[in-house]
Amino acid sequence: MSFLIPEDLEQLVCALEQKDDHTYLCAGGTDLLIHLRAKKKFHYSVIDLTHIDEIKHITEDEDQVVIGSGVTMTQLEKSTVIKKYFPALQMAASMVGSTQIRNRATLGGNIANASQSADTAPVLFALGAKAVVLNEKGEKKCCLAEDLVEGREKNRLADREMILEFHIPKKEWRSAFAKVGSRKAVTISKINGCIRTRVNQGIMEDTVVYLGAVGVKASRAYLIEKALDGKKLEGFQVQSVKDEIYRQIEENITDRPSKHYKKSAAMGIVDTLLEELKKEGKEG
Amino acid sequence: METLKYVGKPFVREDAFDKARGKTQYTCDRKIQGMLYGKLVLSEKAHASIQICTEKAEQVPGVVRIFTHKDVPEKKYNPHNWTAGTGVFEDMYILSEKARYVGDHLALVVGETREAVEEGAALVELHYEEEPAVIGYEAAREAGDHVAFEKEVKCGDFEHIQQEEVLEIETAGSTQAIHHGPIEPHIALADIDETGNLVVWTPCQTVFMVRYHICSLLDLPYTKVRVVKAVMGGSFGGKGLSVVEPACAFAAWTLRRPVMLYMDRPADITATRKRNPSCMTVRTLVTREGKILGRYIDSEFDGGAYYTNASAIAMAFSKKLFRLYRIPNQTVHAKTYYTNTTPGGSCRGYGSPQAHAVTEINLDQAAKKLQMDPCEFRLKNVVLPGDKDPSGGTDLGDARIKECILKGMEAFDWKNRREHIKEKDTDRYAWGIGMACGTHGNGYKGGYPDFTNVMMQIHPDGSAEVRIAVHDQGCGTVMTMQQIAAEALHMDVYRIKVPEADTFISPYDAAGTQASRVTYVCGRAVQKAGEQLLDKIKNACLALYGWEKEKQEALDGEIIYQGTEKKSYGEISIEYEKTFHRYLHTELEYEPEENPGVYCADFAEVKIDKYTGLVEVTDLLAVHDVGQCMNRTLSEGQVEGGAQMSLGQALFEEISYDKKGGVRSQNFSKYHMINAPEMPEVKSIFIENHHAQGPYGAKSLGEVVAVAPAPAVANAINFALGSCFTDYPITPEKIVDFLEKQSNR
Repeated sequence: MSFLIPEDLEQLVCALEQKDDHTYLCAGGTDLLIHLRAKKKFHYSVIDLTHIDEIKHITEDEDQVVIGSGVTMTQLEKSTVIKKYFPALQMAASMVGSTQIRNRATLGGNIANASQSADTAPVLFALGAKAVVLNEKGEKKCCLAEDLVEGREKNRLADREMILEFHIPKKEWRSAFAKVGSRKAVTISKINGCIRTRVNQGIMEDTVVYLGAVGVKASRAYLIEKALDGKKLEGFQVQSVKDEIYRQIEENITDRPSKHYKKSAAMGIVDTLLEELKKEGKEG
Repeated sequence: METLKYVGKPFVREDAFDKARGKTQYTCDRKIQGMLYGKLVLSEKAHASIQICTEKAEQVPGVVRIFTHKDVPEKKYNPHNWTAGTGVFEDMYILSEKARYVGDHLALVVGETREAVEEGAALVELHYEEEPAVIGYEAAREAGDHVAFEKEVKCGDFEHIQQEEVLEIETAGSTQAIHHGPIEPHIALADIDETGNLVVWTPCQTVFMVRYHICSLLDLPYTKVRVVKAVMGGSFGGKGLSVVEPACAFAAWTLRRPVMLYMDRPADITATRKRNPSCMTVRTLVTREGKILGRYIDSEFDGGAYYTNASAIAMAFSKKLFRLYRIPNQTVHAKTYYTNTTPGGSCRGYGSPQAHAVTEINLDQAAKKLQMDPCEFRLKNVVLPGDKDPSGGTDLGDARIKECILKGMEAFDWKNRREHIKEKDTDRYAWGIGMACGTHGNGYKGGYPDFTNVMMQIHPDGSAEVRIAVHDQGCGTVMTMQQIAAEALHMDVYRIKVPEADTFISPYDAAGTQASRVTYVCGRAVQKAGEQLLDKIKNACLALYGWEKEKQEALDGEIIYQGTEKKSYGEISIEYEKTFHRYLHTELEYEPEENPGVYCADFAEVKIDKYTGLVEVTDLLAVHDVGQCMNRTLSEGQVEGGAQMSLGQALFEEISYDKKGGVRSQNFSKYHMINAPEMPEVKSIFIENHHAQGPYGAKSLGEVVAVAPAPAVANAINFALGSCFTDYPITPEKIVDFLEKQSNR
């Protein structure tokens, strides 16, 4: 049993090389500790990822914003860059867990943990975020963040791989995130969602909608997308797309008794998202 | 009433700073030389014969001993029995011989470290031979032989009410199983002192009860067991019955080493006690003019897997229903079932949260049927000061429910808001306001022995010591007693020490922190002892200095004679001891003469998201007939905390069981309590009319506060949506389901 604390990428690669089946990567620990307790694991090794400076920053170049996998929810919530380009990500990060959780929980961890209720997942997927993955040989590969998630708390990372950073393209998008839990704050999403769209002369174009917690992982809501795309944002009434929203949920979780509630709750999600998009227009 | 100088004032509790800074040492922070840790192994099945294999667990380095049913005394107890005379049916062992609920205590792992104990507990193998589990009322009814208790309380003759033009309003509803949710899970620490006594520190509500259980189970004399009330991180009734203390004491006594037995949150939710769920049908008969003629309540309680409070919950529930409205003909039928779930136990309000939850909705429905304002309807029927309890309970005393409603209506702008609130409705949001009333008691008088003892003394340094077995649950009981003693003795609050209950140093108290008795009974005892001691001080001054008693005035720790000469209490103490070979002390035993009611009216505003079904309580006003606030800040704290619990009952909280008795909500991620962002600002109004028998006019507050917010919110929701929710909690799923059905109609 060992506790490794790599301080740079080189040491991280060495640590990954030693990783066995009983070794866990600990970014923020907010999910890991719960899992270890639930599985009654008493003997294990940990690679502590909290001392690697390279994965803790948000940087931007001309075309994209790069977010280290060790960036915390609090960092995302407070970053002016994130707020400017991806308001949805800022919103999602600000609604994860409690203040204490947000101070530790990381973006990489939220994706790698692959919960169907993950709040940043629908946002990263909707924004077309790419993930850079590092392996024990020091090789890096790039793929869509969405492709890293299998769902139901399973990811598609190989045993000795980890997410290094996310790349999100800068575009003229508005975006918003909304969630419904059992209460306003410190709550796990029963359903969440993200819309990204380009508002051109008042019309929503290039609209992408993702919903979370209505399936094994956040997934694209094509029916809702179609119903919204090409419509005028100002004055848009969610009631006018009720059928599409209900059908979308039906399609996603036909067999789940929770679908009845989630249909109505999805109305609330879409309504809130549209309100947020309208507000962004006024602020921006 | 002369002006009060200490009582009522917002003195800051002495433990406040340390608690706010996280400096307070709770039991879990303690370490004693050679201390072992203990963890209970809990059943994962609701009903099963068991075989326990401890071989693997014993191999874990650091595991010292694993106890099972075979090792514990062959003696049963009922953790609900708070004295040897309570005498309610005993059916629980320290460790059970078979599993009767998910969470049943089956084994105890003791080890050198927490890590060893955790691993050991995980490796204890439980082999179950499952038997059919009785979960929920329907199963209990079908099982036939699962009735633990049944009784009817009545006044008048409901069945033969004869009057023309009578309306009958029937409401069926239910309340859920509630976890108390103290931030500190159950814990106890036991050790053997230098003279061979067994000492148990526990954040409990009644040290004498814990002593009784330990002595009875371990066959030890009362004089050899010392139970000390430890600093407590909340109880809300959850620590009102013994839970971990007997096992902890047993392990320490057997191993002759200190043992700390701790629980985590899942254990605290599944394996301690719960507020008994209830279901009931309420039938109320009213005249066209809005006068209640009679009421019939048929109620059932889920008592859980052991007897514990099966009779007490049914009786506490029933009796309260005769003490809020003038109902000439009423029958309350109550039945408690055994089920294979967590045993029931005390939980803030004891029967009142269940009693008012459904009856107050029933009254709103009656008002609606009568086309009457719900407040006006209640005003026609509430009890008045001096009323008797028609079921034979103690007199209601200075019952000020009418003032509560009237004051609340005015402060809440009730009529105006009720008329105009719907104008705020949008496509997405519906608004509503509602109100509800509640009552609770002031101790056990009329039901069980209720008395206490006080020993009070003035030391040569002028400080005062008050020995009385109080248990501060975190609500400021100690400060309350300090203020009462200060008022009686005319001296600085902070120079008065009130040590908490300790069976080796506290004089006997009959019932501990139960039944909303502490301020009313123990507080009054402190007042009387203080008055007696002051009289003694004055007598000492007469004997020592020849000061006529009538010309002495007590002020801020001194006796002033004729406005010129003065002596401090410290000086008097020294000179009294020197001259008369006596100490300035007094003792008394106190039993209250009566047990009046306390009353409240709560007013709530809600905003309902019709898409998500989420309810936001946007305003809450609580009006309480409290007699006299002991400490304004602490009183408001009680009202706010009580509202937090009651709103949780209304909207979120539920220990939910699957069909096989598995507990779905084992952690706070699934057991949702109201948190800070969800809490409305709670406004408090206190009716301070000075009840003659209470300490400086005070009555109870700590439990009644957790009664009326829930039905007030339910009534507000029903007013907003035109619905009739009667099953708690009113979750988003239930609201959406109702709205969907309505729109499909």
